[in-house]
Amino acid sequence: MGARGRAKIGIGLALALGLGLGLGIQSDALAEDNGAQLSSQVTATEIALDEVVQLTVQLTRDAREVYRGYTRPDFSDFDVLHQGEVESSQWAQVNGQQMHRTTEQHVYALRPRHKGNCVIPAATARLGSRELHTAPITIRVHAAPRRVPGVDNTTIGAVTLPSAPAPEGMRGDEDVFLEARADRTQVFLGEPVIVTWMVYTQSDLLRYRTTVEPKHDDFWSEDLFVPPGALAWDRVEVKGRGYQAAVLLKRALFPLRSGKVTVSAMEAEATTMQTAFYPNASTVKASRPLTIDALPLPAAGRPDGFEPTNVGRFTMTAAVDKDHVKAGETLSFRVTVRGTGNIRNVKVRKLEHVEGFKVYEPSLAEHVDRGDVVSGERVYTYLLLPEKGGDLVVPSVTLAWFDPVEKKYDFAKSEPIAVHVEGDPSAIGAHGGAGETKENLLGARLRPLRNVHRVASRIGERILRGPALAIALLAPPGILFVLLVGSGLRRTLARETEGRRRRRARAGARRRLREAEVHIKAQRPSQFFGECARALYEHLEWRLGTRCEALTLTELRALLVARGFDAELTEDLVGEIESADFARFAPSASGPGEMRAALRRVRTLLTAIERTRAVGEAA
Amino acid sequence: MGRLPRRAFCASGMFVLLSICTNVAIADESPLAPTDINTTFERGNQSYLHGDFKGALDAYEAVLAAGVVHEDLYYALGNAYFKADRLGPAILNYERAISLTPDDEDALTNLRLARQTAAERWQDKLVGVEADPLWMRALGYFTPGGLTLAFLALYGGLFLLVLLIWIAPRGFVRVTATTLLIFVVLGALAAGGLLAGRWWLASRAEFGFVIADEVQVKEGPDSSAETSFVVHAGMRARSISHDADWVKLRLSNGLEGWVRERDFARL
Repeated sequence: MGARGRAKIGIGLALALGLGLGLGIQSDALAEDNGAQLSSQVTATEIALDEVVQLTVQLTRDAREVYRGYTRPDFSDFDVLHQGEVESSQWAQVNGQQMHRTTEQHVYALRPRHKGNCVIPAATARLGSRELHTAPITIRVHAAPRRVPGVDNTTIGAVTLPSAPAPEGMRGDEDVFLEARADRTQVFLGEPVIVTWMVYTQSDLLRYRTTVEPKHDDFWSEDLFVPPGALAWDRVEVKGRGYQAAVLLKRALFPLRSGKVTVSAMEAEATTMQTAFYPNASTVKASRPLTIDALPLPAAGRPDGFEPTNVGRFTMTAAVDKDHVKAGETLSFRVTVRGTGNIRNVKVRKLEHVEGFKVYEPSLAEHVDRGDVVSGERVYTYLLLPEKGGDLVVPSVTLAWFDPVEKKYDFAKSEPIAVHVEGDPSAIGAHGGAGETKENLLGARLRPLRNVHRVASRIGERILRGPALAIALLAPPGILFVLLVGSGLRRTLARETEGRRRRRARAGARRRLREAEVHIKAQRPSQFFGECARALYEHLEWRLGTRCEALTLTELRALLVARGFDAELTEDLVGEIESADFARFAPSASGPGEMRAALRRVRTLLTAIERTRAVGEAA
Repeated sequence: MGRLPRRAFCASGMFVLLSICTNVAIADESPLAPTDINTTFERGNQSYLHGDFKGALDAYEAVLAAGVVHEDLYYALGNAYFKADRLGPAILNYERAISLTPDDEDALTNLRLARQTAAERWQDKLVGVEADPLWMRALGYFTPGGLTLAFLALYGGLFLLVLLIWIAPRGFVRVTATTLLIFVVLGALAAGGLLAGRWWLASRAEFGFVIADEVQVKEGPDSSAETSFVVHAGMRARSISHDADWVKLRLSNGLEGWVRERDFARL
């Protein structure tokens, strides 16, 4: 399929989707046979003679079925403005079977050739040995255009394709075309030329991107229209073909120099529905460059001091906010310029000196309306301070401009405005003093005192300059030393030595004997002998290093002999312990004398125990 | 009480004792109570603000005599001296403020202004000036108070870590403390070195400034000795020896001579 064929498909698809499906179907004719369908639809059954009706013929069939061809209706009553076709396939699983159906649409834009009833004959599709036909459709055609006020033509089915001058260089078979159109090619210097860049497409534009903006360095420009988002499409007919057209950019260009000045081409990258499924889908298009002939402003009749940017059609007004002021008060003098043309660059001759007033630099405000032309207003506001009292006059202001339509210079002049100043401004020092500059020499100055009300040495300084530093330096090692020494001392003291054990045993024995003496005095023989026995036992336990009190006397005797106690001492010890036990349980038989005698014996035995070196004891 | 808690208890007790001692030692031993110091300082401010620079100087000097060391006091003194047209003491006090806070922009600005003013009156041009050694200049970026705190913090931390290692059982805590100890020792050494350098500069190098407007530097510590050269207020010098009320100065180009002690003030 060639490019032309693809273009036709694009047209058909665009028309089918954009119009046929979206606009509501007015009429249809359906032929169905064995799952295959052939239908035809028109967008209107009643149209005016200069309107276009669209016919869509749709064939849906099983793809596996032999297809022998399609025959379009014989449009004897219509001119076919364009036609297109599109085909789609569908795959589906139905009850486990794969279905493959093909749908093809044939779209025709038709213009009736005469009034009255115009008939669209049947279309025919041949499938295998069968033929499907659509029903003929009759269109009633009126002589006069039928319009429904306030309703878009497309909603009633008829397609209006307004004829537009074909863009220069456009053949009519392009899928996408970029046009740059200037509303005129010859203008005066400063006169705007409106340039519109448009895109034309036969099929839907899926993607669009401007790659090169047009350059116009010799112009001052003002954008009149930039699409806010999606492009706004209009349907137009170019060389007998239907196109969708949209404005990409609209600018007013004001030449800054005379002579031939150029506007370079705009380049854009576009992808249409027709090209979307092909490799290198995007196509790059460029508009043609424009050449504008900018004429110099005529010298004849040019006012003195004319500002060359004042080109257009303007009006000017001047007013004060109050015409009666008191001394020292200011008033505003407002000069407003309105009109069409290069409003941003309109210059009003500056109010330099006004008799009796101090004139301050004006403030400027402007408002520009952008439509098909550039228009708006520019407001200069002067602040005037009366320097004299009485009746003063704000003089007239003159604005001159060149009218490119009339091709002549024109001007506007405001009326002088009378202002009454009450009092004498000079008497109150209001003679421009506010605006006079007085030299205020700001050289290097001493920085002032800080806003500080309390001072105290910082802690670091206090430590550094006081005894704290020495303490802080010495204390940690001192503490560590004390801790280490203390720990060592404690360990030393905690260690058990033979001498220590002996001293402890002696102390214990002495304590027992003291207790025993107390019991002698108190006549408590039972407790006395108990103390004596415990003194002996404890001393033996220290000497032998084992518990003795729990042993029987026989076992004790054997232990003493085994540990090297001589027999006599052993017998004395055992005997004394036995006597003490006896006396504890028969206390009435022991008087103080006996108890003292026993105490002496115990002392002797304790001494003997100390002197005896037990077996296994270290020397 | 087990081994661990007993050791910890002992260590804690000792450090509480240390804290008490340190706090007592840190406590301001100035002859004026803090409220009196602040009152006097504020009186100085008010005098200054109302143009009584003599009164302001008296008040500020009283605060200084009370042992207060603070950059704001030195700055205020500098300003008061400047306003009283005594550029030497003004420069000295700005320098003192800067030595405490090297980035004190106010003091730096006013010092510059004071030196400019001095230079408009007299100019001492030293021939063959030798710059201070790099380490001396580097030390100038550290304030003594800050260095002291940093060093003591690291030093105290070092001993705390030693105690922790001593107290803690073998394991993660002891290993971590030992690792940390290495860094703390290094930090303490660095801070200690800087502090020692700063201390040396302050106590041994004895840098200072000429505070009299013009001083005749004598060949010896005697007013009848021959005048060697003349210096003016703001001249930086190092005091290298003393004799009665005379001090021997050495300028940065090596020139030496004797001046009255009252004409020279140490930083």
